[in-house]
Amino acid sequence: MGHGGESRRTQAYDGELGAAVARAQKGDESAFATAYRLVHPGLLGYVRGLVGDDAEDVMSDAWLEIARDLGRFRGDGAGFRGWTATIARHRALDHLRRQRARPRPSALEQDVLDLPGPQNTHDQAMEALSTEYALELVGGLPRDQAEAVLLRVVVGLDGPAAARVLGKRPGAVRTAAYRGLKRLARQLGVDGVTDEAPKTLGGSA
Amino acid sequence: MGERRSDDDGGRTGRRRVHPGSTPAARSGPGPAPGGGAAVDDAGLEALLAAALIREGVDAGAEQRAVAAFLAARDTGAHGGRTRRRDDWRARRRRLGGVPLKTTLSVLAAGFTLSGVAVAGIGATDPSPDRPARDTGNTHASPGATTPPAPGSAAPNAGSGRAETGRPASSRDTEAECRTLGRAGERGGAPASAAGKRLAEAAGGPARVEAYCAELLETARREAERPAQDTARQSGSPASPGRQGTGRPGGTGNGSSGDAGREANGGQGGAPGGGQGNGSGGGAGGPAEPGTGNP
Repeated sequence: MGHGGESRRTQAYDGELGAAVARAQKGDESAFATAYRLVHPGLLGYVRGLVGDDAEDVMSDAWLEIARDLGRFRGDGAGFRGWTATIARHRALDHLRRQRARPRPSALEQDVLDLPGPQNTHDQAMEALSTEYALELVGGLPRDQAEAVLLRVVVGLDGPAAARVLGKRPGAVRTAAYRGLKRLARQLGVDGVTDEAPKTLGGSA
Repeated sequence: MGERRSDDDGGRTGRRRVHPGSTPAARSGPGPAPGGGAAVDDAGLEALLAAALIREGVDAGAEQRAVAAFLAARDTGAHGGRTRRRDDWRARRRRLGGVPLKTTLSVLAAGFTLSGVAVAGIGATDPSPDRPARDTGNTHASPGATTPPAPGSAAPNAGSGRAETGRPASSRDTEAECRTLGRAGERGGAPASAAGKRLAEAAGGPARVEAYCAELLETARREAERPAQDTARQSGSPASPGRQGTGRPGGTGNGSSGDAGREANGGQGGAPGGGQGNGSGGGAGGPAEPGTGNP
């Protein structure tokens, strides 16, 4: 389960990421920028699941801390993702504490306009799950399940690393991720019914 | 809006493994409907979520702020900071430091618990065939109880858990008291009053304690040298009258009931052989009316 598409993707990046981090620790700022580009999207997706609209601000704070403490870090590329996820999570929880509110996943129109990205073909766009709806689904999960799913799927952490980020036992995190994914699959399976599809397809075409 | 969002999601071909009809429906929001929906398999679901929640590409301004923070930290020497535990994500150290400690402690705790249960069980189910053997020569001492007669054996349980299998605990207690008494005598101190009293009772008078103890210890030593099978065979041999009155009840019950019988027998005092063996139980029993347990 932990070896979904995202994990495979991040594992492929881990060698490159580890090398970039090692160079950055020696003072190479371009290597730091490389590491940033490799881990930021996943971290942002995770934090967005925690704090919704404010994810960019939270991540900005997190990166200040990451940049400051980079010299303390020890580990490889996978370890760097876990380390940065821990920092991002702490910043997100601080943010939530200040807000005194539960995570509010939302649509983030502004991010959409700002962010660059390769253009999809129309077909791919048709088949994709919208960020808005995915956040809605994940936000509907219990907090522990949502975090376990996000760390595994979006950040690409393995079970033990996710458990360390969350400060829980690996077994508990594995169970939470499993339950969360099962629930999401159930919701998506129910939604993917044929009599709903034509209407929406027509609407979106 | 959903359409536009998806355009920015980055090109991830091969991720869209969901049923084609499912996502447009999903885009319309939760809408449970009857019928067999296309179930999403695990990998497909994870890919779908990743595609929806991760947007490749980063905001250039945010990246530049992060790099600026990195340069500032580098130039002020902040990168020489000490590595704290939470900064160390090397796989090996985590495995050595975190998990095994907990595991080791758990295993140790479980081991202690189980061994405690085992020892307690040995004491509680002292089998009756062992009991008569005690009478044949006062005690059939287990090796642990008697091989080192003097050093460190003052404690009643000095003979270790194994000693309990062979002999009633009270007899060992008496032995131990004898040894304590002997060492106290060497040091010139008075024997502990309670233990001394019990010994005197068991021996039939304060004056006879020394001889009683000498004989008891000697017997125990002899018993220790005797092979175990020998002891087992002896358990079937005819018993002394004293045993039938006292040893049997003690043997079938647990240690405390046996102590009661033996202790009473000890009050009888001075009887050689069997009397002595039974009397050894008096140590644990405490004062009681002499002869009540005797036939």
